[in-house]
This record gives sequence, structure tokens and C-alpha cells, in this order.
Amino acid sequence: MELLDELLIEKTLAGSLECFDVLMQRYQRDVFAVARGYTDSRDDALDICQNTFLKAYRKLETFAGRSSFRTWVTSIAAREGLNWVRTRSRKAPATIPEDKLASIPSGDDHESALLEAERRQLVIDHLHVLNPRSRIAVILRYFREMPIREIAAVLDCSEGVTRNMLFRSVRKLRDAVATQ
Amino acid sequence: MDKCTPFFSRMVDLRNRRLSDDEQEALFAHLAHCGSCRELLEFHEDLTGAGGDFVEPSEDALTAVRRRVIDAISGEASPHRREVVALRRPLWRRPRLLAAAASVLILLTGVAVGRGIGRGTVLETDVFIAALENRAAHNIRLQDVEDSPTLISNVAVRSLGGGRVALAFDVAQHLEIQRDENDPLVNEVLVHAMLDQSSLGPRLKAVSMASTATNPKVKEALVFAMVNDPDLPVRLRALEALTSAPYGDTIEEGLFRVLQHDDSMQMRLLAVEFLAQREVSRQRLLDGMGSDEVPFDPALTEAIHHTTNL
Repeated sequence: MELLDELLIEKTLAGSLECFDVLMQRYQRDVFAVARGYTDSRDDALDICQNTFLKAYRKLETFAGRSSFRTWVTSIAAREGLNWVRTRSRKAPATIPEDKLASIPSGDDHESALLEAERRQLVIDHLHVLNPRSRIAVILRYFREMPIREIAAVLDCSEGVTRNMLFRSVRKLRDAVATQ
Repeated sequence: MDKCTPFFSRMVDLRNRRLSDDEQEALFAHLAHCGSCRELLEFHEDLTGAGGDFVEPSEDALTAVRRRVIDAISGEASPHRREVVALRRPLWRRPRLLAAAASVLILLTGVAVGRGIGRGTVLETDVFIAALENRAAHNIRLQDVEDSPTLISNVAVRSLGGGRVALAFDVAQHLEIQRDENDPLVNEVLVHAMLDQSSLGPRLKAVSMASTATNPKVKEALVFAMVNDPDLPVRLRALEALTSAPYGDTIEEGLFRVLQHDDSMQMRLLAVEFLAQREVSRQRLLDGMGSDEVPFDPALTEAIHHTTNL
């Protein structure tokens, strides 16, 4: 019996922190994904998550239910990410972590696995060629499988604009990766 | 808009198998003559695969974030609690406060509440009551209540004055799940079936299924069914199931109770046979077979003599 977001919100407004915890659990990965669009550091992304949820709690009374809670809290994360970018200089793109290299299997699959990991890492490394809005659109669509309609609501634009933005972004990303 | 854009939008749906046959056919037709889109489709694999490493933080890290958030806001007043009462339907709030006093028998709470909510610091009872309120709010017509998987029984209602009511009730939640036969939940449900079910069919099935179980509580439930079940087929099946269970004091005590109290001669004879196979002495059987409830039966004495001579 999964509780509706509306009920959890109602409970939170009535004072139940447990229900807010459930809401956080439900959408923490979406929020983290958006946060990662603004920083290469997982720790910084977690800080953005924390600020997002704090802000969401304090502004919860203003949530009018015109969009889904997922869209609403993801929008807050997007704004928090922008604030983070404004107040900090962007760090160098991430490289393949040691533990990820260690997890690549040895033997016959070694080479193909390494190539695959490198290709995927190239995609991550080149996300910075996109502007923040396009990057968030790509992350939400391809990493979190968010519907176009919800991405449009997060970015406050039409679905058509979102589709075009995604199309252009993916082509740009592919071209950037291909020139490596 | 580029002529490729509509097809591009469908690539993610193709990967997630969310396209209709017609949409899929149209996309493949486009891909057949559009090299650029074919390249993009290939790139999709790298793009979607990259997300796993990029956006998946550890569960511990996320739990720590939530804990910090909860710590930070726990000292704050809930956001505009008073306005909520005035602005929103009071329906939600009243049952919650009233139900806080309710006595709730939670059947399989972990499964009913835990699924889809995740683990963490959530107080299950509070969430369970909230789930009941959710259900109640969505049951609009009588038919909805009748079709609801939630069963409320043993209800007591008391007026507290001032428009408030105290409720006490038991709650059962109907679930349909699948588990391995050795799963603890299976044992738990089988025991409940043998103890609580009102209809014969489920008890018979539970007893049959429990015959392969080695769990102590399942064995005790089988003994309980053998001694106490009101229906002879269940008692017979329970006794039969216990013949393949590891023998012990619990089973022997149960068999003597059958011998003393069961009103079915078939049950009593089977109990004698079972006990004799376990080398219980003739004298113990003769001493143990009589009771005030069931009259002494010469045929049983003869059976004891016959069985213990084998």
C-alpha cells in the first residue's frame, strides 16, 4: 500500500517528520541526479541534495499541487544547483575513479569492458559542453528516465522546446565525444 | 523542428520498450534511411549506460543526508501547521489524531508498509495508519469498501465529547505475494492459517503444505490442529503430517491428548498406532487412553494390545 505523495505532504505539514523522510527517500535519487549536473563532486552534490530538501520542507506550504511533487522538488534542486554554480568555481571534470577501474573484469572481457567504461566516462566528461539547462534535461531524461512533460515543468518551458533541447544536446554531446 | 526530432524522442521509449507496434515500425522505417539517427541510436547506449555510475550515490550517503535534514528541521515548527487546518480538508487530520489512539493489529506490517516506501527511520505504525487513512479517503462508495483488501474488525467506538471519537479496531490487509517455500513469511502465514482460518479449505491446504516444514512453530501449529481443529479431515491430515516430522515431546503430548479427548475413533486408533511405532509402552497407552470426556472403549483397548504386540 504505497502512500500518495499528497498524503505524505499533508502529514508532513501536520508535523510528521517520518512522512517527510518517506518523501525524501522517494525522490532523493532524482534530486541527486540533478545536483550531479552542476558538480563533478559527489560530496558537493550531496550538499545540494541536503539544501534542496531543507528548502522543500520550509516551502512545503507553498506546494499547490499543480505539478507532481517530484517535479516540484526537482525544480528546487535545479535552482539550488544554479546557486551552487554561482557561488563556487567549477571543478575539473571527473576522471575514472580507481575503484571503477578495479571493478573492470579481467580476461577475455577485459578489453571490451574497458572500452565500454571509457566510452561512458567520455560521455560524463563531456557533459560540460552542454549549458546547465540542457545538461539537466539530458540527466533527467537519460539517467532518471523522467517523462518529457515533467522535464518541461522542471525547466519551465514547453514540451516541444524540451524535445528540441534534448535532440540538440545529444547530438552535441555525441559530436564532442566523437572528436576525442 | 527537425524532421528527425520526433523519431529521436522515441529512441528512449524504444529502449524502455514503451513503443506501440505502429510507433516502433515508423521509427525503424526512419532509421532505415537516416544514418544520423542510427548513429544517435547507438550513442544512446553509451549515454544511458553512463548514468548508472554518474547519478547513483551510495545508500549510506543518502541516508546520512536525510538524517542531517531531519536533524535540522526537527527543532523547527512544522511549516504553518495552523494554516493547514484552515486551508485544507480536515478529513485527513481528524482520523489521524483519532486513530493515534486506536489499537491496531498489523498483519504482515513489514510487507504491507515496507514495499515501495523503503527502509529507514520511518515509524511503521504511523505510516500504516496514514495508509489506512489514504485507503479510507479513496473508498468513495460502499462497493469500494467491500472490494478493499483491508479488513477492519473487532471495532469499538467511544465518544470523547467535543466532536472527538476514540476508535479501537483490528486491521487485516489482504496481500498476494510469492515466496520460496522455506521463507519465514511462508511459515508465519501457514501457522496463521492453521490457527485462525474460519473455513475448512485453507486449513487443509495449510496443513498439507506444512508437512514439509521443519520449523518449530509450524510443527507446534500442526500439533495444535491435530488436537483442536473442529474438522476431522484437518485433524487427520495434521496427524499424518506429523508422522514425517522429527518426533519429540510436543508431538507425543499431542498424541496422548488425541487419545484422551478426540471424539473420532479413527483419530484415536491412528494415535495409538503412531505412539506404538515410537515404542511407547502398552501400559502408558492404557493409562493414557481414558478421560472423563471420552468414555472408555473396549475396541481401543484391543487395538492397543494388538498394536503393541506387533
